[in-house]
Amino acid sequence: MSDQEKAQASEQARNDDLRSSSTNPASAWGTELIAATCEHCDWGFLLPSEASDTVCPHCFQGKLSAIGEAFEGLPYIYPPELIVPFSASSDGIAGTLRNFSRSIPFAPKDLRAENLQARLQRIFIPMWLVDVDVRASWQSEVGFDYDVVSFRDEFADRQGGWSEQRVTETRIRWEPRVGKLARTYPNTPAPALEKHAQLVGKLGAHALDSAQSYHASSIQDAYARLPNRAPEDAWSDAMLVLRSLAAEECRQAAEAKHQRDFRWSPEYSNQHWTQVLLPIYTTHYFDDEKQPQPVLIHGQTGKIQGARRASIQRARNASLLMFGLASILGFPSLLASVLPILPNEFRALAGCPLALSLLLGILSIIPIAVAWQFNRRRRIENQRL
Amino acid sequence: MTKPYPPPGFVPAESSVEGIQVFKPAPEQEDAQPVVTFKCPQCGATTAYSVAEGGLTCTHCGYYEPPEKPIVGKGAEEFEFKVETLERAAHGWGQERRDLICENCGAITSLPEGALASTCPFCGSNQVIQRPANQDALRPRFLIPFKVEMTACRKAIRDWLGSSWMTPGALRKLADVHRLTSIYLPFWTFDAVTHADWRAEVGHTKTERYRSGGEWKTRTVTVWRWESGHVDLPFDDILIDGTTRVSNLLLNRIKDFDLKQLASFEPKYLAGFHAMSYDVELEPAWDIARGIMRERTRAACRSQASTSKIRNFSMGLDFSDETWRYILVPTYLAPYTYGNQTFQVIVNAQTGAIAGQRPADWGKIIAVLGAGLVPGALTALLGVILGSSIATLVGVGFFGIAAVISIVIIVMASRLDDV
Repeated sequence: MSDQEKAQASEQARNDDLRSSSTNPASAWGTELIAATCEHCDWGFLLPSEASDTVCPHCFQGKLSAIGEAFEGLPYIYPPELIVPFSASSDGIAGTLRNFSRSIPFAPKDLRAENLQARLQRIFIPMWLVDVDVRASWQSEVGFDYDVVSFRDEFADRQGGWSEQRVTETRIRWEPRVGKLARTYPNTPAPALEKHAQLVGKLGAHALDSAQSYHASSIQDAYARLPNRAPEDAWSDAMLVLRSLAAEECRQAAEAKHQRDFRWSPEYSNQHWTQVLLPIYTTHYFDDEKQPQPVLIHGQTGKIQGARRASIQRARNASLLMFGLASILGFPSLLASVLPILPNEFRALAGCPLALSLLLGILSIIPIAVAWQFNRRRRIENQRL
Repeated sequence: MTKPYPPPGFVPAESSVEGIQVFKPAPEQEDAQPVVTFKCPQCGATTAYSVAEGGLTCTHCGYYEPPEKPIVGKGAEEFEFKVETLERAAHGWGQERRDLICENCGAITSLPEGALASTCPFCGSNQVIQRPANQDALRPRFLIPFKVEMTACRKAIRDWLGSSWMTPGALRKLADVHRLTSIYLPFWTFDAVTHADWRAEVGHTKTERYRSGGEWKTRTVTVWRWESGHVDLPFDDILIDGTTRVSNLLLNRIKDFDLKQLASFEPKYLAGFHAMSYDVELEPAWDIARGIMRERTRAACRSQASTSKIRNFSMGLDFSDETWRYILVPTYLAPYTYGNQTFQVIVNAQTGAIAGQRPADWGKIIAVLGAGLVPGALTALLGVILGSSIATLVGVGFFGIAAVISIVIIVMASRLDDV
């Protein structure tokens, strides 16, 4: 039996123990929690028992339904070994939310800092950490910087000849290296959620050095997202991380400045998996179509991520209002200037409101254009992220 | 079957991370023997490189050993101008004078500065001195093997000595050309690409009409317009002498070596020949090569202008892909005596091209000049005496032509012994 298979067997045994020891394995968390899933996005959470029948803090579109005794459908319901506590200050979060809802032209009515603050929910997302011993033979090309001398010369008739400037350029000398590696890599991260990379891409990674041993008090009032990837599924991601860690260490071992074409043939042993919970805040606002727009905040750094959209509906109303005013002002003026029944003085005077109404009519496009442009920019920024 | 570890050709290297072993390619092995002595493995006699056979041969038993390394031609490795190499080259290592103990007879010979090969004056054994490994970059890596045999060279020199009417008639027979030295001379080769942006005022002539004193006249005026351009010019194997001990003038006349015949350096190529290491350092040689490159680039820039009338010319020049090689080229040096004077002759031992000094036979030259000048002068004199203007003009004409030819002959004769 390979080490990986042993690890899987041990995980299975642990789950089985958990299930047999208690009718509700969620109680192993040391606090009264219930397991619930979202009807809409199917995310599974453990939440305080008094918080049942609440909106899903992930999609905000469905309600979380307690699954009661049918928790067998949820994998990895046992408590984590480590937890990273929330450390972003409440003042900092409030400031972040204010900045988020500020400076949006024709912002949706619901997009206000108070609303976001009121709907703020603390959740923990899971991540696997694996300790592993690695033995490998490796080969790579490593690069060393060296300086070469070159020249830049100038010639000018007026200066009477050549002047030269000696320049030093840095180039890379590539050399092959091979070697053996026998190292232990502790706490190699591996995603426990399918959307983990997406979340980290938006919010940034968590600092694991502040991780603490799990204690029931550290999860109070928060929802805990349950893993949807088994360690054996996460292992392929962990191997990629291990490969890049090993490549970097081999570069350092060779005392080289650059590296390319790293190849290795690793053998892994003594895998030990740990689950860690990472803190994030979620909140949301409703857009024009009354659709919830989720907003995520990093529980350590306070970095915020969410869709900042202008309300096209409000912008359109503003444009229509301006156009309506222009029409009200312009139509009588047009009649006054065209109809021959009025004296010439009146007809001449009617030109001013007519010009004003024309200008207002043209300017009425601005609100909708500004909102459209703002949304377009945000969309491009989000695509970049 | 398990593969051997580390792979062949790799040696342990220092590792700065615990638990990680590092192996690097083994550095190029310098020959363990600093001095290679050539002895025939069959009869023990001294072996030497044979130009005719193209390998090491023994004249006693006919043993033959071909060169091991291939002809690499222009694909011979080129080196970059590393700061480290330039610094080391500038400090002039490998130039110390050294005593060589002959492994054959035990005689101690004091080698001249820069000598790479030696023939023991007591027992005639051939020895090649290999420089220590730390001088790796600046030891000769490539050479052009000898192609012209010494006997053929001697004959060619005699023919060349007798090929000019301006030299003494007996020179071919009387010149003592027995002291023929086959020697590898050091040369640097340089490659680079120049990138130049130029700007200049270019003059265009045009004819214009103008009115002066009530009349229409024409005149030619130059209109100056600014022009600019860009030139990328590749340079391949600019050859620069690596020694000051042989006349630069003579070397320039024979240095059309064919670098397609470059071979990787092997001591056996030098067996039986003299060889000198460079005394013109890498950087001064590169200065000379760069000077040639930039002047050629300047000419290429000027040729891009729409006319040849150019003023206020300026250009910026960047060098890229600069590389160098240190090579040895085969030559014969033939100092010969004629009368009481010594003259130098140098032969390209790959192509057979000859350059050298020859004594001028001034008696013969003056007689020829006189024979050319006198008829014209006499004719002109007779014309004056007889009052014939035609004869005078014809005489002066002849004299003038003869005078011009005489000047050319005198210049050529005075250059015969230039060195």
